[in-house]
This record gives sequence, C-alpha cells and structure tokens, in this order.
Amino acid sequence: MLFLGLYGLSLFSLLLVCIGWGKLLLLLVREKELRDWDVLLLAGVGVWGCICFLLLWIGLWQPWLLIGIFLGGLGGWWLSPQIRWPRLQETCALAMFGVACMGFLDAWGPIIDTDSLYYHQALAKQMAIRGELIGGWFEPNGSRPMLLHSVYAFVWQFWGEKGPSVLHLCMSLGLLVSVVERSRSGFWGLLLLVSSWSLFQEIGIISNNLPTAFAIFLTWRLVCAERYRMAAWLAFVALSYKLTSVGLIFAIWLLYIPSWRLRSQLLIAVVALFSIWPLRNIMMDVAPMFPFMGWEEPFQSLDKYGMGRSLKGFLWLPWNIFQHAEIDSHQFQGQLSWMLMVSGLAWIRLRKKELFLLAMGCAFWALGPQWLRHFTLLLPLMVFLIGPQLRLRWFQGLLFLGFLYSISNNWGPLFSRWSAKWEVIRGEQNEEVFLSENIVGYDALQWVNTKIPKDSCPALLFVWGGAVLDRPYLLSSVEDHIPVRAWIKTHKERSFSVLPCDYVVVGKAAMSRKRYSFLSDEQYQHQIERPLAELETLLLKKAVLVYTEKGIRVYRIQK
Amino acid sequence: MWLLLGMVFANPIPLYPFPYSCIDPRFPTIHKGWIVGCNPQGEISELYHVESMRRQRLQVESEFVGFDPIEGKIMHGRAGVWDLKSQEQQRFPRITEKLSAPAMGKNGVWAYTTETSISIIEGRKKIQIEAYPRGWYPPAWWGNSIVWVEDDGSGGEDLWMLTDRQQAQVLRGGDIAQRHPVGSGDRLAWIEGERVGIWTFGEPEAQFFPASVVDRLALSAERLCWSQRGVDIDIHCADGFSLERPGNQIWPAIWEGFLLFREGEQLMLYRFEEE
Repeated sequence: MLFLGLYGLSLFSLLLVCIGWGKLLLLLVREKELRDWDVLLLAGVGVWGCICFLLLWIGLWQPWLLIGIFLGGLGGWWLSPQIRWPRLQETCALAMFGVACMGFLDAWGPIIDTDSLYYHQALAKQMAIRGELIGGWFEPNGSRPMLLHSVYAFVWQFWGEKGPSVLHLCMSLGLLVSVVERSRSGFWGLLLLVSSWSLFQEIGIISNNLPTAFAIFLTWRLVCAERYRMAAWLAFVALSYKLTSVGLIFAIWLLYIPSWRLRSQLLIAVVALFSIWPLRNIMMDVAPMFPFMGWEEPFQSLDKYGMGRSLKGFLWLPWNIFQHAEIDSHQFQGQLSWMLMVSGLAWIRLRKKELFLLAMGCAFWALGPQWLRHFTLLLPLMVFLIGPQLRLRWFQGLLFLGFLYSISNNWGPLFSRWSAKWEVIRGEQNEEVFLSENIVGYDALQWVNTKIPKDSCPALLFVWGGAVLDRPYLLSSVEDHIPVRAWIKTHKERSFSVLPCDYVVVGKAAMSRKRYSFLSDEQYQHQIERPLAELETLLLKKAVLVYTEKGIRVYRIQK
Repeated sequence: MWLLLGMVFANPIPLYPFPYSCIDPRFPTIHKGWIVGCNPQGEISELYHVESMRRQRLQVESEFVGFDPIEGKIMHGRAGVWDLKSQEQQRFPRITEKLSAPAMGKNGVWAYTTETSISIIEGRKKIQIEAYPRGWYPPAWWGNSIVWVEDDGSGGEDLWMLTDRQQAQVLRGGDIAQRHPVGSGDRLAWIEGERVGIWTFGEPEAQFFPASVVDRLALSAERLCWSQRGVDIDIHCADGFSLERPGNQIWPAIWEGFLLFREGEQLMLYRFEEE
C-alpha cells in the first residue's frame, strides 16, 4: 500500500512537471494569460514528448539528463504560479472517482490488450530499453509520429510497465473532467461519455485514442476562444498522437478560423511542426509517411471493416453502428450505447456551424476504417455541444432509457474484464498463468526471453505480443501483417539473409480467403497466399525449429 | 479399401479422418498403428487405426501426449494414462508438474522433462533430478537409460543421459547443437548439425552420416527416416529409401511398414513395399 502511495505520488509529480512545461510554453508563445489546467497539462505533455523524442533521436537518453529535464519543468511553476484547477459537482466528482477506480483496474492489472502489446506498451519499452528511437523497414511501428510514445518511454524508464498505463489513465480522466467541466453537463455528461464500451474500455488501457480526443477537444475550444497559437500547438499534438485526427482538425480549421489569412498562417505553423516526423522518415530512407504509405499495397484494407462500403452500407451506417457493432470482430470492433443515439435528438437545437462540425467528423470517420474506437475522437465534441440540454429532466429520462437498453452490451464485457483483473491484482489468480491464458504466444515469448543467447535478436512474425519481450526485437505486426509480407515479397529466398536477426518467432497469420473476400483471386494469391507459402518453405529450408508452445513456433535461422 | 489402393498403386494416399491441423506440429503422428489426431480446436482427441479402421475417442483432450510403445499407453500428464487395449482412462501414473515436452514411456515407466528437471515415474514412485532440459524435445529411452536435450546455456543444445544408476552425464556436447533424440530398443538417433547420429547401446561410438534434416527423425526397429532438404523437401531413410514427390513431404512418423507424413496441409500415408 505504501509502495502504491509513493508510486502514485511520484507519478503525480510528473503531471505537475508537465503542467510546468505547459506554463513555460505559454510564455514562449505569449499566451500567458491562459490558466486552464487542461490546456497546460496537455500542452506540457506535448513539450515533454518533444524533449524526450529529441533526446532519443540524438542518443542522449541518460537517466541523469532525464531527471534534470524533469526538474526543469518546475521552472514553469516558479515563473507563473497561477493555475485554474477543475471544479466538479459532488455527484459528478463521486461518479468520476468510480470511473477512475475502474480505469485503475485496467491500468494496474496485467496488460493483455492487443494494441497495447504490439504498439503502445511495446514501443515505450523498446525505446526505454535501447535508449534510442526505433523505426525503419523492420520496425515500422516505430516510424509513426512518436510524440506520445516518447513520453511513455520516459515513464517506462522510471516507473516500469505500469507507468505508461497510469499516465494514460490520468490523461483519459483529464479528458473526462475537462469535457464535463467545460460543457457544464455534470453527471449526465459524464454518463453519456462512459456509457459506450468503446470509450469506457479505453480509459485504463494504454493507447493513443483518448489523449488524441483530449488534444482535438482542446484545440477546438482554444480556436473558439481565439487562442490560435496554443491551438496550433495542440493541433500538432493531436496529429502527432494519431493521424486519424486529421479529419476533425481539418473541420475545425475550415469552420472556426475566421479568415483565410489566419487559416494559412495556422496551417503553415502546424505543418512546420509536424514536418519533424516525415523528415525523420526521409532520413531513415523510408517513405515520408511510413508506415501509412510506402508499401506495394494500401496500408489498410478498408473493406475489411464495418458492414460494407456500398451506398447502401453508408446509408445504413448510423443504424448499424448502434445495432450491429461487435466488440470482437471487424464489424466496427466496438460498441456504442443507445444513450448516444438518443442524445442525437439534441442535435436539432445546434447551430449550422456546429452541425457541420459533427457531420464532417462523422463523414471522416465513415471514410476511414470504421472502427468505433476512432469514433471516440468525436464524442467529447458531441457532449460539449449538447451539454446545456442535458440538464432538461425529460431529456435525462430518455437518455437513461437509452443507457439502460444497452448497458449489458456496453458495460457487461467490462465488468467481467475488471473482475478478472481484480483477481490478479489481489493475488487470487497467478499473474503468469493469467498472462499465459490471455496473450497469444506468451509462453513462447517468455521462452525467447530466457533461452536464446543475450546478444541474439528475435524477429516476430504474425505475433502481436512484443511488449512481453525484455530484449530488442524486430518486425512484430501491423495492419494485415504488411511488413512481414512485404519483406518476403521483396527479398524472396534471401529474406532470412537480409534479416538482422538470428531467431524468428512465428505465430498464426489468421488470413483466410473468407476474411479477404473483397480481394480478387489474383490479389489474394499475390498479396497473401504466396508470401505465406514462401515463408513456410524458407522456414523448412533455412531454419531449425527449436521450440513450440501453443502453436507458436520458434526457429533458429541457419545463415 | 485404401490399403488395397495403396498396394495397387504403391503411392502415398491422402488420409481424411483428420482434416484438422494440431496446435503442436508433431501431431498427427502414428503410434502402434493408431494415428493420433486432433479436433477442430487443434487438441489431440481421437485415434484411428490404419489397419482395422477402428476409432477411439480419448476422454481427455490435450495439446500433446506421450507414448509407451511397449504397453500401448498414452500419457496425458495430470489426467493419467489412456490404455489402448482396454480403452479406459487410468488415473495412475500421472504427472502433476507442467511438462515441457511429451513424456516417453517404456514398460510402464515414464520419463519426462520439466523446465528444471528430468524425472522418472513408475506408478506412484518418482525420481527427479535437477536439469535444464530444452522445452519441446521429448526425452528418449535408450536401453534402460534416458537421453534428453539439455540447454547448454549459450543458446545451443547438448545431449545428456541419465543412466540406470541415476547418474546424469553428457552424452554428446560441443559447439554443434544436438537435437531430437529418438530411441527404439537399443538404438538411439539424433540430429547433430548437418548430420544424423545413430548409436547402438553398448557400442563404444556413434555412427554419423550426412543429412540436412527438417525438424525431426522417425525411428522404428527397422527404419530411420527424415525429411531431407534439397530442391524441395523429400523423405529419405537410412536404408536408402526415398519418397520423392512434388512439394514438401514433412513430419514423417513410422510404424512397422507404414509411413505417415504431411504434404502441405494434407495428411498422407504410405506403405513400404515388403522386402
């Protein structure tokens, strides 16, 4: 308990330091009259991310330097001590505490979420272990904009595996408090936000969706408050956290900036800041927007997600996302509460500009891969806009009916998850056993951790659990296993020779014809079947099977 | 019917009773004429006899099982053993530890490896010796001794032996990795780099012959076979037999005159011509 208290206190100090950096940034951009805690926090995390990214880039990832920069953030408090802290009603604060407790179970419990394992936690861990940036052809995930993950790497370095998750929890709660406070929607605003599985389940699980939603929301509020310099910074933060934010950022830019001159200035500022990511990729000899571009085939097969992209599919989309969404399949991969659908009634009272903003947000979402976790970027804006109407009694009754109607679909799966994690946290269930049962390839990856030579490097093929490894590794997976397939297609029988690793961990690709029915026979053959068959032949001819566990195979490459 | 066709055409025939692949790649395999195969979840669940075409459904489904070829029993670990003759699940002997590879039985005595030990169990009597066996490779009986693959601590593998006096000693070591020991009576075979070693118990030295082997050996009283790397992968045997067909033939297992292997996703059976 004492450890937990000290841990929480030390992590809280990081948030204070981030706010300190936020204050320093305000001085720099001459917006020092801004005193909002949420803007300072998010702007500060952005500054902190830039510093960490640069340290990783130039190879100065030294603990003493990191501590020095950490303390440097306190300078912000010295220079400008005023800050406006959040104020919530008692009921709302109590409900927020409940949400925080549930989120904490996810953040403190064992990490089993696929995106956390191959992407968010894995990148933070790899950068912290190596003390440098990762990226390039064999580490495509590391070539994404690394603003948020550089901060996660810092937190991982000092607070271990739970650190990034707890920081993410703080940012998620920050978003909820910020939206509820600014919209003055109170308890009902909070309930509307967390009524959907797709948002609630993200709160405690390390990711980039809610921090991005936070950045978009504040960008919009700052634009409305005509604080353009800070808005430009937060737009850069949002885009760097998740490129999917581009639709909403564009809508805000188009609808809320009063003149084309100002629009041009802000565009130049944001593009200039953002250019750091393409520049880095160019220097690493990959496409500027790698890994989103630079492959022989599209990065994402959009047809795979949702329920069809015909005109009929788009027309039925508003109904389908509420009625037919599934958590564990590509059919929207999430769940929305009917409370949200009922809240749509309040759109009638919105002004044209606000309606356009929401419509553009929805349209951009629909054009993308139609994952409901991307839809969460839009939710804070919705709640803010209908906030005043959430105080109407009759409306609250309707909303509650919508909430009750879909509570089992939305909160049901969460309660079983929290219950399982609580068992692990209090020691009722062995964590190793839990991880072994819930992470595909966990046992094989643990074997790799302990059994292969210290200077050996494993490459993960069709295996998502990179965060389990305590050593540097290559590849792992990203959309439709493009990197592995592209590597085989490019190098063919020389593939193992060009791979700078001596072990490969091979999972199941799970790429069936049925799942890719939208591809022609020829495309399926060329893009999927042939590379997978070539890999199996290579494994037979040039590698030695040294271990298998639960269908995950470990090979030693014979070079 | 299939047997008749097999004899008429002297070609391997596809086997359809087990259309599903197993989680553990060394299954399906053949044991005392019974093909041990998996359910749609990839767990070992059913047996099919190649001659009588009879089926047995196992009471316990698991990822891997061990065999006692002499007594005709299948080891399930914690759930005990399945007797092929009586078709009953017996509670003892049973292995309660987490196995790192299938157990291997001989006359009712079972040898098995865990992450930190090599053990022998007979009924309720157990002997355990500290060791660091490499996971996945089952131990092999060689006469009355047990041979297993030991982690050499630097990423490679050595062969160790536990004598009938319960003394553990290195059987084969060095820079080249030794893997996949298989035993049949007094004969022991294993893969050592780009060659195969074979040693008859009581003889002073092993014999070696060059072979680029894919993944494992299949040994019976009469034959030693393996998948050989070449232009593609074909099955070769130490007696000069080779089964050369288009595509890759992998994971051979032999019982008396039968050779079971996989060709792509298809399970195939071949009957050696009688000498």
